[in-house]
Amino acid sequence: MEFDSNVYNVALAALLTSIIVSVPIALAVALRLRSALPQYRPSKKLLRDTSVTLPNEVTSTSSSSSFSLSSDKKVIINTRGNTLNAIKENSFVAHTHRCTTTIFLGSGGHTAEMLQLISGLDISKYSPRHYVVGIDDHASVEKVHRFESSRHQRDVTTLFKSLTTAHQRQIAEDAGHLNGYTIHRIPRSRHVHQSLLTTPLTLVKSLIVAIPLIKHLTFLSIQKINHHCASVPSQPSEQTSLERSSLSSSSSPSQDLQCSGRRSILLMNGPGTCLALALAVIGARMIGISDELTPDLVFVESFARVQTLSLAGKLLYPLSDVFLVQWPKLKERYPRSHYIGTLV
Amino acid sequence: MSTHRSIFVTVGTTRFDKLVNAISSPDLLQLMHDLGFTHLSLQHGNSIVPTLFLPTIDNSEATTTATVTTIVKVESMQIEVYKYKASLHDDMINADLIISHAGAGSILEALRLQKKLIVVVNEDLMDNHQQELGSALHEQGYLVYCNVFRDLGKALRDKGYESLVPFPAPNAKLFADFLDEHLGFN
Repeated sequence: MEFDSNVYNVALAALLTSIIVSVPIALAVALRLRSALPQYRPSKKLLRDTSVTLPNEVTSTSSSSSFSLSSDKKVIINTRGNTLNAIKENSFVAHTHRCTTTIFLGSGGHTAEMLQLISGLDISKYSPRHYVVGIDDHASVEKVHRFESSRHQRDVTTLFKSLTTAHQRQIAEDAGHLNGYTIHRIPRSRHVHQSLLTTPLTLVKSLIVAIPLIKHLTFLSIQKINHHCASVPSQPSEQTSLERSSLSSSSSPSQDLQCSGRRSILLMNGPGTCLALALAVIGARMIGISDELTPDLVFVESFARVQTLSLAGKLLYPLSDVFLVQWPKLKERYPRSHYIGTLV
Repeated sequence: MSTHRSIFVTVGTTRFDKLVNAISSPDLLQLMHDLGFTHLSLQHGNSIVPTLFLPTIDNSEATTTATVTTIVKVESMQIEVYKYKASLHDDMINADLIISHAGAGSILEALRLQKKLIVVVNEDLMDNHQQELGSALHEQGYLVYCNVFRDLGKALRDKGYESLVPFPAPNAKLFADFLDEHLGFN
């Protein structure tokens, strides 16, 4: 009897302890998640303040970063018109007009729709392009090669992988920035007819690949920009020493602006495997990686969906920064979505 | 006869016995003939092929192989029957009228080719969203939509497929402009 009550007490204590420990953790995680979700995020990445006016001569350099401008930063921009003009001469500025584009290809109809969607993108702006395909989806890889070679682009995937040193990678990166694309493989989150019970397991498998992939695809480019940023102040020779000192004394805000000018997006249109990529990005935001470093999540629901979202759409609706639908009825039901007409 | 007018019937990878049966009925074949069609291609996928369309010799072998095409002549219509092809694109291009299941892929492919299209819904499949696409496009006049397979004869007779609205070509600029705007690339 005594033994039984001891066991009971221990079990009760363990239960209470686990509740006491897990509740704050769960709360903290929930709060982090809330702050990571686009609709609750204070910085409102997707609602760019378009009312910010910039001097004409710097508009082109900083327009791509204007999404994060608050009023005090605007003042800095105004007073630094000249400095920015000088920076504009520098080669890295060209990069701020570019957007690292990660494209998820879901196979079959999803791939066809996605390639149709991106066919209008200006490849000089949306580069480098990283395609993420299912591990056994050879048809999509074939379609990517056909699609890109029609625009005289090179596949630099193998170049990327075989290189081990940072210097070699840098060269490959540059090649990718010039005219190239890379293809990356990811395990599927859910196979056709797979039971819902085992789906979390395969999702974890996808996540194990997705997290380092997202980190590699987006952060690598950012590091490159930061590297360029760091070298900027010393390079423009025509700057006066006064300007230079003023730049270095309060350089961090304006540099941050410039560095954050490099955008990245993740384009998805289903099916479920893209959830792993989106979760990797949301996870990055949850651990406090700034908005500028994580790609904007863009989801485009299939044209075939008229009144109801696909499973992938339902899952990604709360996570996406931009959610596009192709039928007005869906726009009515999902107010955060955008409807701009038939896209495919 | 010098005029060559063909109908292409496709069920994709689905099983759609009712449509295949309806197509093979003498009434419907006669109707197609009366409407001036001379050729019929039937891609039956996993549906059961009516005996009418089976080749007289080597029955079993011909129908089990996906690539084998059977050609029969019924009601003075030249009829080509096959299970599946690597690409249905050529058959779509050659067709004057396409009768399709409600699959989004088939619908879009036919509309992109600016073909006259009759979509027949498979009530045995409870996949609602496909039916939604067919009826939504029907509301805009891009295709003829039959709810029950018995309506197919009526849909053919009414010649609603002659006066469809042309499906607009994809506008890739729409999405590109939207993204440019979002990213501030202007």
